[in-house]
Amino acid sequence: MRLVLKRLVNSIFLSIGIATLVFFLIRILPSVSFPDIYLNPRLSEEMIRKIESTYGLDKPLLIQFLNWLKGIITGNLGFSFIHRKPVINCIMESLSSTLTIGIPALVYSFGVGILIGVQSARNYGKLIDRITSSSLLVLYSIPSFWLGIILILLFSYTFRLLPPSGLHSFNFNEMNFFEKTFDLLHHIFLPALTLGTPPMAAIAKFTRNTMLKVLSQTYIKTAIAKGLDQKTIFYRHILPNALLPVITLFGLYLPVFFAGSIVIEEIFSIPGIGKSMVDSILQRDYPLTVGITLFVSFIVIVGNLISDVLYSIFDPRIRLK
Amino acid sequence: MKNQRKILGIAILIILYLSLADIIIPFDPIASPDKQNLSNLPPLSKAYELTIESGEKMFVLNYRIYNRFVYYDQKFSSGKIEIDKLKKVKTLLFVFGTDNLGRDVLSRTIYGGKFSLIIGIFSSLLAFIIGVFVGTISGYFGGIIDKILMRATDVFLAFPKLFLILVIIALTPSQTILSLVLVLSLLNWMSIARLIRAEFLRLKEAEFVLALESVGLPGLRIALKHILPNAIVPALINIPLMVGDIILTESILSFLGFGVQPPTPTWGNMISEAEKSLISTWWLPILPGLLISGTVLAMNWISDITFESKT
Amino acid sequence: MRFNHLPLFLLITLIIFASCTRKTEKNYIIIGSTIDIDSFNPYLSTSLFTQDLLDRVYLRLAVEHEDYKTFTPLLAKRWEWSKDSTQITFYLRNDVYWTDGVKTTAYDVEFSFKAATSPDVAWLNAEDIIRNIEFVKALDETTLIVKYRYVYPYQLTDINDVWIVPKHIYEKIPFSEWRRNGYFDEKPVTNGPYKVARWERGQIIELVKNENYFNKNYPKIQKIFVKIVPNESNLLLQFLNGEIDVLPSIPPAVAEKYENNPNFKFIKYPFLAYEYIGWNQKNKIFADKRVRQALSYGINVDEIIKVILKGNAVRATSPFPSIFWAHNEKLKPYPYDPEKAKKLLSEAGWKDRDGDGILDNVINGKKVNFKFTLITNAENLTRKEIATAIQNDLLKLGIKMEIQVFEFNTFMRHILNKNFDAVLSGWRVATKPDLATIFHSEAIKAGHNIVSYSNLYFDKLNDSAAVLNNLSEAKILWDKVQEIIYEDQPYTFLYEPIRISGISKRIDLKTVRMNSISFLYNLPEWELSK
Repeated sequence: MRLVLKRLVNSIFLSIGIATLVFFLIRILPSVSFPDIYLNPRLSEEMIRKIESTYGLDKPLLIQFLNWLKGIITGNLGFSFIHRKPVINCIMESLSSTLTIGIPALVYSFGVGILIGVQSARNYGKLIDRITSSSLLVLYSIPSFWLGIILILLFSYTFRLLPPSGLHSFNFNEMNFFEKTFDLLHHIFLPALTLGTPPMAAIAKFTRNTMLKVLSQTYIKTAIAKGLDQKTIFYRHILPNALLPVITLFGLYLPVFFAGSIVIEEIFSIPGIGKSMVDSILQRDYPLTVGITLFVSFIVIVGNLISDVLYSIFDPRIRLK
Repeated sequence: MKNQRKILGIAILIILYLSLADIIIPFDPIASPDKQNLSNLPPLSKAYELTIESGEKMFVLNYRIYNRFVYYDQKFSSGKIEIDKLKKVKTLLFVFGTDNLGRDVLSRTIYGGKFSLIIGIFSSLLAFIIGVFVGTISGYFGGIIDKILMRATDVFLAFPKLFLILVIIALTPSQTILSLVLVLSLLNWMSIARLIRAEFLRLKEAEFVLALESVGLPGLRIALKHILPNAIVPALINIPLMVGDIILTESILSFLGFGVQPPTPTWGNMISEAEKSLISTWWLPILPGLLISGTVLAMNWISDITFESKT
Repeated sequence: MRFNHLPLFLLITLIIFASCTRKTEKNYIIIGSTIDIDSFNPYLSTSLFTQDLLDRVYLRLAVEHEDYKTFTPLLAKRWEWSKDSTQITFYLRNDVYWTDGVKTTAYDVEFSFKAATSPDVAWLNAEDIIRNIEFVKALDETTLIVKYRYVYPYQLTDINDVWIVPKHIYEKIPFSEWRRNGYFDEKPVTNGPYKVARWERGQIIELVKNENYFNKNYPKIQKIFVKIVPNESNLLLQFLNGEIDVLPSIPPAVAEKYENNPNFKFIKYPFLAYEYIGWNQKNKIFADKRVRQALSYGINVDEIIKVILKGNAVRATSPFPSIFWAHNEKLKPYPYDPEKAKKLLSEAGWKDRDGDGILDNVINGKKVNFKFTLITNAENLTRKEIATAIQNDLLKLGIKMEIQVFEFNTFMRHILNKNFDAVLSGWRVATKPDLATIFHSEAIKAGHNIVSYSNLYFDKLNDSAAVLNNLSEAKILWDKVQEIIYEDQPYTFLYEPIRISGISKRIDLKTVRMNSISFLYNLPEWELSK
């Protein structure tokens, strides 16, 4: 437990380190920092300096950095240039959109993935297994970017069944609970499907492999030889042992679902973390970029940590180092 | 043995594709013979190339011969010419349609695949080499060097990729395929490094290594000649997966203005441009997407069969 | 097995419940946009779309007409010039209230002028106003005097550019804090025909009818929703599916494809802008006038308009668009004439001496091939296609052109640092004619003369034309100025875009007016179809 805590603290420092790197590197980018400057050729030097000073950009870089560091300790990530709001609020808003897609996608990919994997393994060698295995391979190979485009073409363009974008309708606030739920499901179906399908295929494949491994183990064979009830064997012995390793994937996929996908948020017009990141970089909103970097890198590192921890729990041979 | 033949088959297929891509394309992938009349034709469209007496060529969508005249229809106009003046008629078939500039999608996809595959394969090989290098050093030396390298790997893993790309654009004066390969390999070596390191740590304790050490072989020699070859094998499986990943990442780069510049097509930039004109020309992304999926599928299949033959 | 049906059952229940929707009021329209607004504080807005929208919630002194010369009263009932024409007295309406109940007075205008000219606010358009207007003073609640430093033709335009904001709200925050403060966006206080009901960043803006608007006849439509969908294909799809009623700009290829669809209409109108290729004269190749002319002859702009823009553009000939009064209509676009281009090039010394298919020349004792790179921004698909077409055209002349695209900020940096050979870009044109910012030799060092064009005769003419008070005399000078530019071709002027806006059949087309000022020009007058 101490080790986990230590690594958690480490990962906080590591993500601050990464954010620091971004903090300095972002100044290398060619930038016109504020749209005012290219829109208005006659903006005087004095005015540009005035604008910069309101954002604290006139101070030496090191001072700016120290201020930022001081802010982090007090939980203040700075102030976004484009949104005129604290960075932390911007991140929270984007995060809620990302999670609206991410959580259903997570449930879908693990739920359906495990289900298919288990079924496939139970029918090992049969035609159904071969069909699912090869279709999983195909699903796994389709780029999500393209999958999203094709799904939009099919469901929104050709059949006009599902909306291609956004998270809810314009009159969402006036709806009752059922309408709201339906509206939400209606909107998140395509993006969640696109986001969740490649991980789903990977999880199914992994589940199938671990299942097969467990099935070939001697204690299962013993159990079968002892003549235990089929169901008991399956639910008491095979399933838990096969699913434990699958759970470790959770950490690995954490960033996929919670850190926002640039591509999916782009094609489905979802104002999530990934989109926010791209916008902040393209518009050179330094504090927001650094803030999101801090958040995303933390999630990635913690995700790795979680999968390591889970792995060591389930496989005592491997110790956390 | 059978698996090796399958892998060899795919390798030959790729090499054949790369060398034949320029020859088998039916149309010029960069410039259309007639922008006006061949623009935005849907899949399976036909057009006719009429060669007139003066050697001039004319592209028409339809024509019929009636009363010593050839009547033709073009996109914006129609007209007629005397039948004696018509020298030759060639039928053109655009199986996957044409784009806004009248270029054949099939030709562009075949031609662009060359760049996508080269970028994908070379970047993943380079990423593999970087990964093996870092992983080996980390695993062999251990201790503080290992710690530093692993933290660096973590940093690269968690670093926002898009941002890194922009920084690199800012730092490189001109962008070539080479710089693209460099960037893409820099973004993808981390998992290989981790894998190699883990294998190294495992193999260090393996019996045969201990035996070699007891014989008194120098450590470096053991590492390079005995551990490394064994450690590389499981990491090799990752190369095919990476090729597919990189071909896709290239499409994201193109919207940042990085990478292969227009009018040269790649599967990636064809899809990302097609996405913008999806409503007027829905057929543009179909073929490049299918080919990316096919390539990745083939690669995954290779990694699958190598994996299964190992276990 | 029973378990498997549970989700399905839930879903069906849900659908049944959801389909029993209450009838919501249908008196609304939805406008689609790819970008969100910057802020409800007009002094912080930079995008055109923000200004379009803010103009429906804030009142100006007067309404500018499409000719950019005449005005009709709005907040000001009437105005009169002093004898020497350096002062205008405005008489404001007495019945305009801010949405929090406070009356809109001349003191608000006075305060707004202070804000507009304050260096702490650093407003985008402050420059002209600071230079031309001496002071603005409220005599009482409804009388306002504006004192100008000198007499010039655009006195009304300038004062009308000043956004009028509520003094009692905006003075709570010091000017220097404006850019960092989200206060203005929390509950915007406005006085226009619509008021702000909701703003969910990046998703939706809801405007509702201002019940206290002084003109009780307007607005006709109760609610305006602005739906923000960053992905353009996505937005178009929603428009085609009838989920969005108004779309400010539609790609020409889409408009061509759906031209005859009865569910929506496309409105086409000119836009005060033009696209050009700038030839950087710091590059020795482009320093020669004949080369630039040859390039203009060698690019088939008509084909570009026909193929890429599906005919939705007008050939540009000068930096003043053809709908603008100062435009010189005698200038005819450079025709596509490769033979003439070749002739001009060989006159300038460009010939294919080594037979490699690429022209070459000797500049400063060194052999130079005619090779250069054209840059443009990566986000703009149309520009990328145009660049490709130009590449084809120039190759036929023996000129090798590479294309390099950049992400917007990087692109702007390259332009402003003059770090390019040729650039494909566009300008929006100010409503006051002045070419100093882009072609004056003084604008090479600080300004937007990105191609480093320098012609002293041009400088002199432009400067005298810009301050001429008599517009018909000024027109004569502007015509001459444009002739110089036409001859020198610092840019190859490509085209003036025609904007295509789409509206659904839900809106009564007869009531809608869109023009180069705004696609929402008369939004309060729009009505739904019966």
